[in-house]
Amino acid sequence: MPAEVIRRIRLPADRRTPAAARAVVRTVLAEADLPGLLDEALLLTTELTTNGVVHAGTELDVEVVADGQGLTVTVMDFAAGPAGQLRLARTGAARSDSPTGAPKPPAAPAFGNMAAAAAAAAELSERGRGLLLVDHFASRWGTTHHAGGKGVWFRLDRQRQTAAEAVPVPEAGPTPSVGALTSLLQVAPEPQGEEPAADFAGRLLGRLAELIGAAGGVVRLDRADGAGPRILARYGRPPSPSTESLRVPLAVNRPYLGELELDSPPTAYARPLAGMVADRIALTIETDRLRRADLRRQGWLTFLAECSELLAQSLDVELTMALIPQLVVPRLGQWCAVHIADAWGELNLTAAAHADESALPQLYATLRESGPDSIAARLRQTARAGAQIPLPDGFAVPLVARGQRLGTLSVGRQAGPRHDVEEIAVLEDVARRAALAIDNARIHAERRRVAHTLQQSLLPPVLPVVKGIGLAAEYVPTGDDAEVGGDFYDVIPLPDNRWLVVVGDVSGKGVQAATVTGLVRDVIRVLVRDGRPLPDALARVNDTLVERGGGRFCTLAVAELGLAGDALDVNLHLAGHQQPVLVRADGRAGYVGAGGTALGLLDTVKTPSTAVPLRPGDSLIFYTDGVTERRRGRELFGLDRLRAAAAPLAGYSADVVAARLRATTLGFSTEPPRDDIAILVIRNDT
Amino acid sequence: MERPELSISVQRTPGEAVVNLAGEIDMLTANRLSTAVNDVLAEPPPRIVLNLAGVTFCDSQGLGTLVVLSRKATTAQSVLVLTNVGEFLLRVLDITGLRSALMIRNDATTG
Repeated sequence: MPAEVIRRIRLPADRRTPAAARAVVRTVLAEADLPGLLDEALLLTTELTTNGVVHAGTELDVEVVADGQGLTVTVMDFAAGPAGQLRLARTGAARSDSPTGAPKPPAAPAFGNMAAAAAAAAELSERGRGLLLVDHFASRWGTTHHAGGKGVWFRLDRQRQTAAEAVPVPEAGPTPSVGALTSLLQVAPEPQGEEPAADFAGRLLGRLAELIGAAGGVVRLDRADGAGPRILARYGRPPSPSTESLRVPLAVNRPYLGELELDSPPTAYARPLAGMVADRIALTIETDRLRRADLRRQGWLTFLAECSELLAQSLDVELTMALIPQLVVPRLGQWCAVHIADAWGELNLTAAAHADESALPQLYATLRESGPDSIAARLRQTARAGAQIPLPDGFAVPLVARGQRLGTLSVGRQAGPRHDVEEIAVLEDVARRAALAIDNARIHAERRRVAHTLQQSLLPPVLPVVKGIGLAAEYVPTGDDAEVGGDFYDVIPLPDNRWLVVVGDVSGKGVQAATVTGLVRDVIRVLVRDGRPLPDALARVNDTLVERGGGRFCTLAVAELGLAGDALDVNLHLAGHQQPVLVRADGRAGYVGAGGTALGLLDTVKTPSTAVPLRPGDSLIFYTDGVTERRRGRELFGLDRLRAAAAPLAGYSADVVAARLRATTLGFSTEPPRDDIAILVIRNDT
Repeated sequence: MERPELSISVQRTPGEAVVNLAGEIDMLTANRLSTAVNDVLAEPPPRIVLNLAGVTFCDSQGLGTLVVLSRKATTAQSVLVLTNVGEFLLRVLDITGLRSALMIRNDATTG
């Protein structure tokens, strides 16, 4: 008796599917040595698969089983809906295709109309005609149902009338002992192994064969990958097709299919024991399948989480784009490319990676190709459509963030399987995260640029050069370079060769603080140029801040300078600001000035004036709290350290004093500055 | 599985056009057959001979296509003749009742 031959294959809803199914049927019939059924089998298989492709439009599971007596072909689809439609179509078709002949064409219609009508009629009648053929040729045919859809099957027998076969009568043999039976249950799967199901099946099969005295046996498993049944485990010599064997199907879920075969007559107890073993093996196969699916899914989740974390940390546009292909290769493809659209919507290759470095030049060349079928053309289509599009060896997804199309992400693998649904979903997820990261980095870069520009506009580009007066300033922005600080300084010329120096600190940071800074700076400039006395000008600034400062306040140190002979007269007003350091030419250092009220808090302010005469070589150092509140852990730089740092600088030029103090302040701690730092030095250079 | 599905070659003489077919006719290839014969019908010869000697397979869609093409040929004042129709295909034509709708000349000499 020839062995049973089974082939199962899942095919797409494609016009090539009937031909592919025919190829499978041809192979099976050749293997089972049933050439006499070829014509009928090919025709009926084609009719069923065509029906599935046209009317179900889902993937099709085709199962071809040949045994010694004939062939059974089942075509299952995954479309919901009653199989009753098939019957309706069949009876309807049988009417229209009655042996009286095909319907006559309508009388002299326009050519195009006739063609369309004929095509529609042909389609209708062909479907019926197909089932008519199945009905005529098949020994039996029918429909089946499964959870996700329905199927149609037909059977072609070698001879129309099957000979009644003698059913072998099982002989009663010696009954196995309880101990021997228990050994079947003591075999347990080891889930740690590389192939737990195969390992378990092998050991169990061995025990079973020993127990029932079989010379050999096999466990076959068809994973519905088109490769047919493969041997999962074997024991002894495989059962030969010519001898009687004991066969039990494995209760695995579709699309898997398997069986256990033993080189042994189905004696009284052999069959139930084989059935139990088959169940245990099936359970392990199922567990293994679920575990693999689960591991795969977990792997993707971890991968996505890692991608998110890496992308979220990257605030640099160029780095982000370069990072993306490195994340994707080799997990989702052999190569990956990021294309970003420029202001005109033109896609430009921004980053690419290949699992094989030496293949990178070839990849660049392929990506540069132009033409209707080139990758570049497909990518333009992807970007325009905003949907994933297949490539010759992979596919491309759009990069979309906040509704904006940024570009495309493409992957491919020249060798190896095509991407499955899961991988496509993962890549789409990566693309979403990548697009958001690119957009975030762009926004961050824009903020940084705005902050930098704003800060620059609040400080004088250069300090004036005044004969006899040394002026120098240093400014360090906060560590977060996307923030605008509230510190500022200014040097304003007054009539009669006199100068006004202003150092200030507006509470808070950011754009709002910057607007208040600009307001304070400009109001002071306008008022003092108008010739207002300083206390009056400061009172006006206070009024402005109370009215329009939005709750922000400001501390100011204002000094009016004028040379009188070789002495530099300084008239100092402090409005809540820290006292400046006076460094005498001989190295004595101390804080000077009387404290006043910060501006913007109260309706009236006091800004007492202090005269600080600077003799040649003396310096007066203004600073903001970014200096004294510079932190090292919980420790502050403080006033004492500042004075100690300033004293040795006696005798140096204003430039040197400012630069040294800046370096000392920054060097105090390794942390980036939390607040911005401003230092301004006045020195009597006469 | 990637063998050529259906190859079509056309030879025209003043009296007829011979369309030689080799391969399989099914949902994948029926349209190409239609296109080829429609092209011939753009300038209809008195007779179109469809030589099925090389056809290894034809399903019900293929049959339907043959019937539609035969009608079109008649409309275009031509005649569609099938030659070298295989035994199994003849059986299928009988079963479906389409044999009477087609002109079959298995003994006809082509040329």
